[in-house]
Amino acid sequence: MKHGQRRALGIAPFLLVLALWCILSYGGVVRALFLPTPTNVISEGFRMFAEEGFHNDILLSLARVFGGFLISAAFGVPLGILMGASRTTDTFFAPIIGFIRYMPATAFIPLAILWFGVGYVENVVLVFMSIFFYLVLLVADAAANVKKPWIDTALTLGANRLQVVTKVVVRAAAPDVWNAMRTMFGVGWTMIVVVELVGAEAGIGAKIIHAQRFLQTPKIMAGICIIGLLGVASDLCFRAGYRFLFPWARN
Amino acid sequence: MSDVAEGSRNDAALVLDELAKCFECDGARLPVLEPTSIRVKRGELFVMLGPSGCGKTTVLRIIAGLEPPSSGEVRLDGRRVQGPSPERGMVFQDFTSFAWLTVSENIAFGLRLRPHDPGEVRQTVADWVRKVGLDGFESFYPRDLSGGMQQRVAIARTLAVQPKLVLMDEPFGSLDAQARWQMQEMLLNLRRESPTTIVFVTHDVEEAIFLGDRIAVFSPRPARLLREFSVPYGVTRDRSITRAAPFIEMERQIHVAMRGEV
Repeated sequence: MKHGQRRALGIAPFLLVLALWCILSYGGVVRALFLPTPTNVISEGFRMFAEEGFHNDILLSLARVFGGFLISAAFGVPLGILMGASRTTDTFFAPIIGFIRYMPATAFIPLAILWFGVGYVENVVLVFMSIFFYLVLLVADAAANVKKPWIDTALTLGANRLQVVTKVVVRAAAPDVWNAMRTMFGVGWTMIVVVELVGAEAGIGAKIIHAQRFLQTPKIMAGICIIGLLGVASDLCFRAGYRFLFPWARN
Repeated sequence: MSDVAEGSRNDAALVLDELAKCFECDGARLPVLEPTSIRVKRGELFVMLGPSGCGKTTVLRIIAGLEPPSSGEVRLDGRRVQGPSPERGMVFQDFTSFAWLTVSENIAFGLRLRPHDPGEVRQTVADWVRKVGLDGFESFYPRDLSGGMQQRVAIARTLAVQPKLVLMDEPFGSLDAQARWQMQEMLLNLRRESPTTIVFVTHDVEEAIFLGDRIAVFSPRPARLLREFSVPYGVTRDRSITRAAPFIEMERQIHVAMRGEV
């Protein structure tokens, strides 16, 4: 398939959804309270930036996601590498992490509010809860799946255990670790909106729940679309980072 | 083997002394190597020849120190092998070039594991790039190299750290015939320049005679040493010897030795 064809095929579903939306809204099939028209949503979106300073909400949400994400990565990646490289570490941590991972991070929202109050610390803790445990296991998997012959080769060239980890395991697992971070960043993004829906003064989620109270459906939908666009943008950044950091990796 | 005997035959660099290996799985004991004693002289290219999957690779891994023997021991220059060491380099059948390093960085890998002078490393790497014929490919990543070129990288990387002993596990087994011939001739050239002690595993009889100084023929699993052959050629060998009568006769004898045990 040619590049142009592939692009067209990828854009088609967007157009289909948009067409359906147009028929339902402009055609008057669904009342505007439940489904506003695309023009309505778009103009509302622009108004939110122009008059309500929506970019400040976006920056606030981003700061919360980044806070939780960076702390998760700072602790999760080294721990995951250690677990992948050492049987003892894995045996110690894997069961407890496997246990906590199955507790939905959203269920910790009441506890986090109780412990930290509504605010930045609570936000970051909850994003951390949603990312950290899965990230550790994904990284541990990536580290454990490093090709054995590479490790044997390094050993016969004189590498000690530490050098095997730093010069082979970390380097070989890095692309998979990067992709795990990319996936988990998306999870953190979802989490912060939920956290803001439940209790926050500002932020994308707060704006959306606020709009719901006043039955401002165009505003809700504009907020949701912008979340989607931001997600796509962050994904593109991670992909570009992958190509920049790992020019040697096969696609 | 007593110390006196070893002292009187100090030309033996590598000694396998009643070496045996069993794999334990589900309580069952699967013997892969029956007790085997071998002496490899310094500077010799010693071929271990046998059918695929007969346990030759396991012997190499034990010599490399990557696996412990079930009984017996390996000695290099009289010292018992315990674990891997850069004095015993290994070239694997799988392409093991580190994917994230360029050709030059791959060759430098072992040198940079120890305290080193960057200028010296650069010089050594440049020398090896030339010796294995990779000029112009220094900054290529392995994904852009053919199988033969990747094995050149692996050989250069192994020899660059100047091991006392090089273990080669069917290094040309995954290559097409033409690349295999080129690599065999390159290996002979390298040995002419500096005679490294090599233990070379293969299942290819022609390759064994063309490269080897001595050939040990093994049975199918569990591997048992059937017979040893001495190859009457020096370090300088031409492809034409493979078509001459003595070569063909030795091929025949080796086939007989291999068939004698099925």
